[in-house]
Amino acid sequence: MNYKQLLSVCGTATNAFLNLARSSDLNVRRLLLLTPERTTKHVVAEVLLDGKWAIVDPTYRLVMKDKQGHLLTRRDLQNPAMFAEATSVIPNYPAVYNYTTFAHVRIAKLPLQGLHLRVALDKVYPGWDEAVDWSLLLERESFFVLCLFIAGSVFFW
Amino acid sequence: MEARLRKLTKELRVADRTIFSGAVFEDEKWAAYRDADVFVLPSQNENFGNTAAEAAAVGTPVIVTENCGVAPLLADGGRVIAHEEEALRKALGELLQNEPMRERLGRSAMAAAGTIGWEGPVQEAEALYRKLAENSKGKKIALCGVSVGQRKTYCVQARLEGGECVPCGLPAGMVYSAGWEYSVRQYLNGFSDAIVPVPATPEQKVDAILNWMRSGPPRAVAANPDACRKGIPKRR
Repeated sequence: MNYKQLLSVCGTATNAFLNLARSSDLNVRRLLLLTPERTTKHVVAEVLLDGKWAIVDPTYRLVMKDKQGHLLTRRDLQNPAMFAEATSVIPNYPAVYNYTTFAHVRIAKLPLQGLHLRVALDKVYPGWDEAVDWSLLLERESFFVLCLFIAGSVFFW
Repeated sequence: MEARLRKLTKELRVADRTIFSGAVFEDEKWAAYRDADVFVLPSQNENFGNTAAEAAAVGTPVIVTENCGVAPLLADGGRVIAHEEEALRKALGELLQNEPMRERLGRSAMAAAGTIGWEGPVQEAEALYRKLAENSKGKKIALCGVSVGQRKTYCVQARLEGGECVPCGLPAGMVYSAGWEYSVRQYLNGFSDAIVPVPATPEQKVDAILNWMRSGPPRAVAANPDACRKGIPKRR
């Protein structure tokens, strides 16, 4: 595959967008759109613009806006009418890429999924996945292992 | 999901003609690929589609949607279709009813699969990084998140810095690669300067990045013509 093809796939297109946005001092984070079975169906980005997390779909090079040009958040896009309005500029934009179920962090990627970590964290600290930018830890597995190692060393020392 | 599909086969009265094999591996997997008249990957979205490439490798014609990364590579070995029920029905009917066509496409599929490998994407990525670095004159360049496989990406990054690939899996390797990851990321972080105008509002920055993505990487290189001829180590 070449770059053009890679930039048309949601995962890599969003990675490219996030990296470039971070390099430009923008506050960004990945948002996973999930199926009812909680598998990932699409990946988009959230950008902190004017104090709210606006949705950008890098795959379709689309900033989600209403007809008046207002930036839309994932909460706004849960409204089917607003979703239709925002995506109407892209012909055949998949309607299944809605915002019914989503997550910021894919816990299943961690080697700890057997602990039902998400359920436990949701109980102990609702909103934990939005409180911190987990991207660096979770996207870079070696960082995660390193941090785990350091945390373990400090704890047991 | 399987329960839903099983229910569907009953509703459509094809349960006695449908096999839910579950995951198959090694010899059993290759036998299944070979045994199939047609391999179908009707994905809504697929980064690559290894299974289609594997089916093609044993000479089984494939039907893949245009949303599969592998589609352009296997176009001669089957049918690339829109992600639509009617398109799939038509392609399946066409191939299942025409054995000579299947045989011809199967041969093409095998030939096409033979050309698929890591070397092409890795060389392409390397060439792009090198070109970007040459054009960044003291600036850093950004890793655009193109994942051609974690280890392969490491290789590209390490070569760019003149370093060596670190075998993954060992704790020392992990620590070392984390260090590399950090330093390379820092090194690469400023490429956005070539894409995003400074100063710019956050919204303008977002638009600039999306515009760059619409145009593809060459635009970024063209936008930063100050060529730099130093600091790019030779490939080992």
